[in-house]
Amino acid sequence: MTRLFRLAATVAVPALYYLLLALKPGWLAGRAGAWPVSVLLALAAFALLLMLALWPAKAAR
Amino acid sequence: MSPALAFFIPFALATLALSHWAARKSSSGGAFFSGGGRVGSLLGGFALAGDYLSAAAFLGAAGLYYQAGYDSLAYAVGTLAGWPLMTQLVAGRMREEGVFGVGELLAKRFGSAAPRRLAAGVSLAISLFYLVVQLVGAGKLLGLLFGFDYTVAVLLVTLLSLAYVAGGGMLATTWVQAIKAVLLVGCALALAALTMARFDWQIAKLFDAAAAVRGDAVFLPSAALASPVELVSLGLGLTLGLLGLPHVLMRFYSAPDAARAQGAARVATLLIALVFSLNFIDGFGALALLPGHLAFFTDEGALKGGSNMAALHLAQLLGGPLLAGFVAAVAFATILAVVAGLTLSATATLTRELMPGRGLAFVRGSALALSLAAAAVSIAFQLQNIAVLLGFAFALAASANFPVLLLALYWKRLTARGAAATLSTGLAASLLLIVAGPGVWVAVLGFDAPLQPLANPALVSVPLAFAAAVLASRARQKETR
Repeated sequence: MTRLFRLAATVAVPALYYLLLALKPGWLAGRAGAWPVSVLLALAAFALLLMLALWPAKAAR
Repeated sequence: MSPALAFFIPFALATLALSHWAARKSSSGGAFFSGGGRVGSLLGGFALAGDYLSAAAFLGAAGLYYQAGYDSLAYAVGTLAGWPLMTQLVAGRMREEGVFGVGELLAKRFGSAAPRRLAAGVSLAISLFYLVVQLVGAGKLLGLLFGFDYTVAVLLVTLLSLAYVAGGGMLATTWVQAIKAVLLVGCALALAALTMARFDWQIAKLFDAAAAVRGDAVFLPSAALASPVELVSLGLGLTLGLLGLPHVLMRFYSAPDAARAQGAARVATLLIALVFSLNFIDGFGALALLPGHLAFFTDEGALKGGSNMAALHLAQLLGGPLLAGFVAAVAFATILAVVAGLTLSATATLTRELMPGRGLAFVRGSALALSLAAAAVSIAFQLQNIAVLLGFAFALAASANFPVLLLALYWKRLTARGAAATLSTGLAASLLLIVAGPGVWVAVLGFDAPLQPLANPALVSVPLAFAAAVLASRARQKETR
């Protein structure tokens, strides 16, 4: 993953998350199995952000 | 002796002993702030997480779940989002530069005093505002947890944390933060496990029980987060504010090299994500389980001690006085550790960036003076709504410190005048917008409507600061051509 792509993804994940919360699409209030979709969305954001933080990158000097 | 004190006293004694050990290793001013420069990724990561996770990240988060359901998760995403940016953009570069904070970075880059002093003033303000809020919260929380008088509680926390800071400096606070982080994660895990056990380890039952109490609206943002613009501004403020917090940035100075500073940021991100993920189980669990147990409610039907006590009451319900005592002790340790980190940050800013070149005795004396000043303000403001100070601290961090930090690290064309313009604009914009917003103009000053609608002004103040940097730097370049 290039550094620029990683940075862009790090900005995009919370931006998309808050945009979805702001737009309030109907499916946000639904359930996916046992899980509220809104909670799954937040946890997916957590997972992506964590991955972006932990992803091996070119080490600093 | 209460279970809480029985758990807390060994922690206090062990960490005071650690501070004494650290004091012998921190005999010079340099070692006092660097911790010897040998704090590896694992210890550094735990300390970083400990520095960042205040009582608000645990008790406050659970309380917000209890009070407003999903809003707590929305805050958590914005808060966590800053950490990958910290890992990618700031941690390694700060350590490469070998500087403690933003003021030193600007001094190294430009050599001139004005941007350094301005940056130091901003950092000092952020640390002191944050410190006062933590002390006021500590005074109230310890009164609820242990029955301490407010003034006694504030002084106790001040003096204990001062013992860590003045005694052992960065090394002592590193270990205190790391131990506290382990306890906090353990606490959140224990509560989450017991909550899930109550629901037969079926997440559907937890969600159904929460919905049975408050309806399905509990899984959606509340009216407080209804405005799209407010949501985006909140997210921006939370994410970028982290990157400008002096007591977080200082942690990278203690790493041996840039790679291990980045490693520490990664470890911290993992721990913080874990705590946030456990919080939603604890929080929805409190919301689902506490109603119906009258012992936790006043005659008027409010939660005893306020919503911040939700996690404590949940611990009492699930594990009796022993677990509640452990959680209370961890809350006390959390408060102490964060206050110590903020005191160290404020002391470093004063003695390294504003009044450099003095000995260790001056450093320790400054720590004492700053601690007592913050305690005095906290005692005086016991009955005031000081939450606005935290909002201001975060707004300053996002709007003044973060822009100049990012530009100083990555933009070769930033000039000293540009740096000063960034800081001044970020400072003025965040101050004016917060005063003119609903948090102060309406809630504190009592007017009917705010002059501007944003409670969190980052959406406006951050771009303004960047624009000032670019305009001032380019204007200077045109002059010199």
